[in-house]
Amino acid sequence: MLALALLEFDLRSRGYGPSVRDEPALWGSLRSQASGSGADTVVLLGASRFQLGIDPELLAPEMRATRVLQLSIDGSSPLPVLEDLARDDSFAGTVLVEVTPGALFGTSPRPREVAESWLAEHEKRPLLRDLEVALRLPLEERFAILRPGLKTALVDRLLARASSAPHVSMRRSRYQPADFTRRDQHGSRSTPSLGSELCEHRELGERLETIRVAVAEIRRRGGRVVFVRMPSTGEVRALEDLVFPREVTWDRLVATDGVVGIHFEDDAELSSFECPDGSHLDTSDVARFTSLLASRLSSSEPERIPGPSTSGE
Amino acid sequence: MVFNSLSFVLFFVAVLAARYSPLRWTARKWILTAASYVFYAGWHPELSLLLALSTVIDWWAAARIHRAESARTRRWWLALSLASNLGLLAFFKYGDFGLRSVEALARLLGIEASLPVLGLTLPVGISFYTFQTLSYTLDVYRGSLRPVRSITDFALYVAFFPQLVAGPIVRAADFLPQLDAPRRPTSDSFSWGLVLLLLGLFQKDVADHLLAPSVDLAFGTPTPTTFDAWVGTIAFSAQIFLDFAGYSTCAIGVALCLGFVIVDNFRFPYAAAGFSDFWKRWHISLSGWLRDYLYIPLGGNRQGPSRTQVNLMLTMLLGGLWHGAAWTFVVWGALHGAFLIAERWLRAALGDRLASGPWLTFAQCGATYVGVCVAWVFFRAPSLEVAWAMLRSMIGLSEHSVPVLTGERAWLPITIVGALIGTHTLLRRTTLESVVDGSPGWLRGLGLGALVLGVVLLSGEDRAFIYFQF
Repeated sequence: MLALALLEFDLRSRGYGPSVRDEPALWGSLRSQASGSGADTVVLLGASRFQLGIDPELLAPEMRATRVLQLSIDGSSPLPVLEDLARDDSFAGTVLVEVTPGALFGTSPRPREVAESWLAEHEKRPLLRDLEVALRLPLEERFAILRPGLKTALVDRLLARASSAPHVSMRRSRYQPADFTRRDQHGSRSTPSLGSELCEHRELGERLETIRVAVAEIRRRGGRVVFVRMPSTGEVRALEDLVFPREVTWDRLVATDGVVGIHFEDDAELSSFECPDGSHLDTSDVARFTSLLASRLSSSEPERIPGPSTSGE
Repeated sequence: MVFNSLSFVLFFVAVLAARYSPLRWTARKWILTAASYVFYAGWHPELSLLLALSTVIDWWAAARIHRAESARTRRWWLALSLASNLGLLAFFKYGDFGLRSVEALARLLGIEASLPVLGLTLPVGISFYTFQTLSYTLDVYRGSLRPVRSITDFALYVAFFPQLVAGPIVRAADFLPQLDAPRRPTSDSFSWGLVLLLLGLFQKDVADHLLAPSVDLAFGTPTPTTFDAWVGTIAFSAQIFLDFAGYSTCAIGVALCLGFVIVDNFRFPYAAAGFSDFWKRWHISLSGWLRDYLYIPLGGNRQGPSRTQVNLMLTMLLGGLWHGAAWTFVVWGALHGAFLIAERWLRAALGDRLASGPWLTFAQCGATYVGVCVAWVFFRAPSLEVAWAMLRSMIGLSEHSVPVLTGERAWLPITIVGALIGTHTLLRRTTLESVVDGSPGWLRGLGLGALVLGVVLLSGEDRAFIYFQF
């Protein structure tokens, strides 16, 4: 016990605070909450840009929502989960879909596979999954020694190897505040790579058709879907513009029947943010960005298609 | 429910309270049975029905076998038990594998067949409890065991939660007598049970967090380098041992805390000198089952060398298939069958010369470990293609390879494997309990502290125990 207490103290003194694990069980318990929800629920679908860039606890009051469920999955495509929500007859809430060009329009199958594997795990969830999550969260929120990825830190410590404390942690809402002032100064900087190319014209058309059908289904039930292109800056933005030109990706997406979108480039205030790593917001910018996004959302599509009432309404 | 979860901690405390309550022994057995079903239902409650069905059929069939007056009637009841147990196992575990294999065979014959995909959820632990209940009816049929009168006792034997989902496969003759009267464990055995539970959890954490990433990387690379292929394979040899032995150790420890003794399942297998020695040390409860209920009934070694070889191969092929519904497991079993046959041939040819001197024993241990690792490639690879690619890399035939196991991804598994083999070699003629008993108190305290520290610090993202899928 003494050794554990000393280690906890040591970790905290080196900047390792508590962090909740980002894994399918917690994600799945939030996904379960989305079922049966109505207009008072906002669901965030996307990848790391949403997880680092939007604080659900701040967005909820801004959007007058009872709850905001962060269903983004790092490195994934939002499409499988969007289709899943469209199939879920009991869901009629608002969905914000992150548009990361590489994940949505790229050739790599990986982003889709990641999302599908989490969905599959949710589908075959054991009976006691939510109980386990509920027992684990209070401990993970309080103790740095339960922090995921501690193995590397311990190995570094063991070898007296220089390393910085992680600059990203996660809360139970699955928001991941990132303090880029503490980013690893010892690691090497790599040239940005999107790891994917623009998919073929036919494939792009099929994906847009998938989106159209899913959006129409959610809207038919009284729900709302808004696509959001998060800020990217510097080399990452230049590379994204080069590989995934806006006119063949974003412009075609928002031209799709029923699709509404907010692109940071179209808004002077949203495009004023600087991403320290080119693709993610720093935690110091998150409150302002979340507030701005909420105000843009309230003016993007005020009307809802009246749908059948759901259990959440 | 899994041992490495907080819900299990709550559950275990509640079960211990019931076990040591002043209630009557019968009531406490009822509670243990109900708790075992709750433990099992933590995955998919509906699959508890299969467990209950298997229990009722075998309890009933064994009673009828015992009472039957003619050999023919006894055979009919045994056939019912075999057909229902193996039928359920075949349907749930091998249904899709069989259909896909028929499709592939049809394609080879030039026939285009499209058979349905069953897509069934594999009931957790079905291979384990099927073998356990089968051993009961087979023992009653042979007359070596009297059927148990109480269905509650039998249900507790089948569903006893510590070993229910991933073994050890407990024989009725070993377990049922422990239900006759309450056995209160001493404080020493209770403490030893908790230590074993901790040790098992630690083994599981090491397998998951220090070994699995390197294994996944090596087996996920289309053409690994020779170094990566070997490191990935030996890392898997340690991962599968620590994962499976970890579960067995937890099971034995939990049972001990509840006052029950479960047989050992592993005895330092990577110090085995020869493959027959390996199977006396690895998954002992399964190899014992296959020996007693398959190899010996097939004729064992009593019908000449050729028939012995056929029996060995058949036993190991079925042992391989027991592990999973895929051709990779069949090849794994075939390799072990071939190793055992080759060893018998060598022993016959070389006689006593094979067992003399420490260096020769050392060489045998080394050769056995390498053979076991080669077989592990098929056990771990998701397909035969990946396994072949891995083997090609291991003998230096890979092309356009890029190293993926660098830094700690390489030295960590190498260190752990070295420590594991060293430990197995040192302890090959003893038991863990006797080593701990003979250690000074301060060393035991230090070891226990290290276990607690390791379990807490390594508790990251949980993976299911590998043997749950079998």
